[in-house]
Amino acid sequence: MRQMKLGAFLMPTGHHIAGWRHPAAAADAGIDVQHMIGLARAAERGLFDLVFFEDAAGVREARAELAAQTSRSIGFEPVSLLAALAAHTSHVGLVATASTSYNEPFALARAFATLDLVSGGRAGWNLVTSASEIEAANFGAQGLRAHRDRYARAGEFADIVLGLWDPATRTGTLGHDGESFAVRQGLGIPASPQGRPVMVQAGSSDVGRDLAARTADVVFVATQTLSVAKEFYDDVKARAARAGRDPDHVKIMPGVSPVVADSRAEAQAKFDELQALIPDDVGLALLASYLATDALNGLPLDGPLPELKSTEGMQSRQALVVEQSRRDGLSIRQVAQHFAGARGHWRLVGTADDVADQLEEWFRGGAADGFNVMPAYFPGELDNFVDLVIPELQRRGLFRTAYEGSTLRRNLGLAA
Amino acid sequence: MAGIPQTLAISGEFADWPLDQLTAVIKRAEAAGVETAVLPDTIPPAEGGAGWPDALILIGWLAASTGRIRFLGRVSSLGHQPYNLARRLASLDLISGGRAGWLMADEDFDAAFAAFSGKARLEGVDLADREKEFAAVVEGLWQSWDADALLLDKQAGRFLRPEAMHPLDHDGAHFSVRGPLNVMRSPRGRPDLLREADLGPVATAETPRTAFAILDGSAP
Repeated sequence: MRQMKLGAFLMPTGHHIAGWRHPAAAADAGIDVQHMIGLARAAERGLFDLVFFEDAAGVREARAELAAQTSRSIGFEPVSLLAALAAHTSHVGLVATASTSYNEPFALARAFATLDLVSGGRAGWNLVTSASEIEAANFGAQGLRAHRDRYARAGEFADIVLGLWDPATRTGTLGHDGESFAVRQGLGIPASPQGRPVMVQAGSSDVGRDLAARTADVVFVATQTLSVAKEFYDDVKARAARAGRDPDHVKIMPGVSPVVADSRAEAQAKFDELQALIPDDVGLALLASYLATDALNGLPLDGPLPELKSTEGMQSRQALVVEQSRRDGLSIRQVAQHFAGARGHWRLVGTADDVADQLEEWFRGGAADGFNVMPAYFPGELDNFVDLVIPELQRRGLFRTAYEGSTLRRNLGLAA
Repeated sequence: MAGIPQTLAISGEFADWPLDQLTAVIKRAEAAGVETAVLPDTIPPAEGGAGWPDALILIGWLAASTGRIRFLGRVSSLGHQPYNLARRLASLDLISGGRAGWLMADEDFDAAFAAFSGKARLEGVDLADREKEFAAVVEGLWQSWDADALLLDKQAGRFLRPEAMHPLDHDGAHFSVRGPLNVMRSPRGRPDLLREADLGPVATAETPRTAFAILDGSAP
């Protein structure tokens, strides 16, 4: 029977923007490697396929006053952190985000290939093109490149990395001389037991989908309704088939932000408690940053979201926010709070049964091969998922009861 | 009989250093009182061949199974951007409890030129000048946060002191970096940054066998 793939999307303090303020959250998680090791081990205890870290090469918030109220400005560089986590785990996959805009492909391919070696074949790279001006300013760039240019560069970058990871070119040459990059020699280090690291992507724009369908093993996506998720799922699988790939070798895993408790009332109370901890200015800033707009400044928080012009930032995310707001007739504050909690991902509040019902519906309904789980705060909500939801999924035969193997590719059911 | 060296440099071919042997050598070195282990970061020559894995990844991994020994990655700046390297080293310093550092390598320019899009990035560049500025940016980014930056006040909703965050605003001949770094300073302040001349005497081991001989005091 087909079973779900599960990622544990780790962050130091939690996915809820105010998660660090929860009494049970570890607020100093961004400097405490022991805490992060504990999270990776909890994920492995829950038999998650992988742990995942997002990344930005810069602080999340340039305005000091807003940075002061959130936990997101500091943390570990994820590939370095995963090197340490590799030594403290044995089966769980280790996936980190890194940018095609601010790295050289040889250096990035080599770092992940090394992580793959020390972890015995458990590494994965989540390709991002980077869309923030804050990051651009750390790399001497005069503003962001246009969306299409970023993806052209990312496509060339991905091809080089895949070429360098190919066991056949390791001690030979790649001989790439292209538009943005030139790489002559191979990496010169052996391949891991899984052959090459797993390629992950999350871009959901048209060019993002094409790149994912052509090169990714796993695709993360932010979708909030079954119908939108199914449209995305069918579309990416069809694009993969058109690119000459087996659609089953592209695993689509929507993000899900669960708040789980023994009863619905407890789960709702826990969620309400978190929402009440979001300062207005923080929620608004987060929304403005997701929309890549400054058009919200000075507008009444109880009024509706204004018309927004498309930007060079997060195109698909913007469409999602605007659509959501229109559908539900939300005020700016409501949209801000709504998105602050799950950051545009699918949110579930309820019992383990409720959460399992929803996940099962999407999984059986052809909208997902699995899910990237985004706990509201750490470590509590990850432990809750492991202790409450995983056993329920196992009881239903929807999730493994032991790891199939010790490489990430093997557990994901991907071709080596 | 030779004494135990202060610094042990891992060298030779990676093929001679299976990961379990590398770990065993580092642990033995730590037990013997070696203060610093230097890891190579050699990339293959332009025409292909064998190289070493990424030294900074190896350090993150080796740090987990050790507790006292300091690690230096002998890394060239040529394939990197200062913001990224500053971040990785700062993260390693947190991960290792203050045991990580960068030994600025005498670089193999031809290999780096071939691997890192040299024609577009490095041709005609004053390399000594670039490296000097690179190091200054890295060290500047390591000053992004004051030691008392974190408040972690859940009740008041104050995570950090905004006055304790310092952008770099560097605008130089080779790099333009606004900062601040998005990694908090480690308890000891910052990672080490050394050049070869700063190292003092180094015992170099080409294989695990020679390393064990050095650590047993049986090497000439």
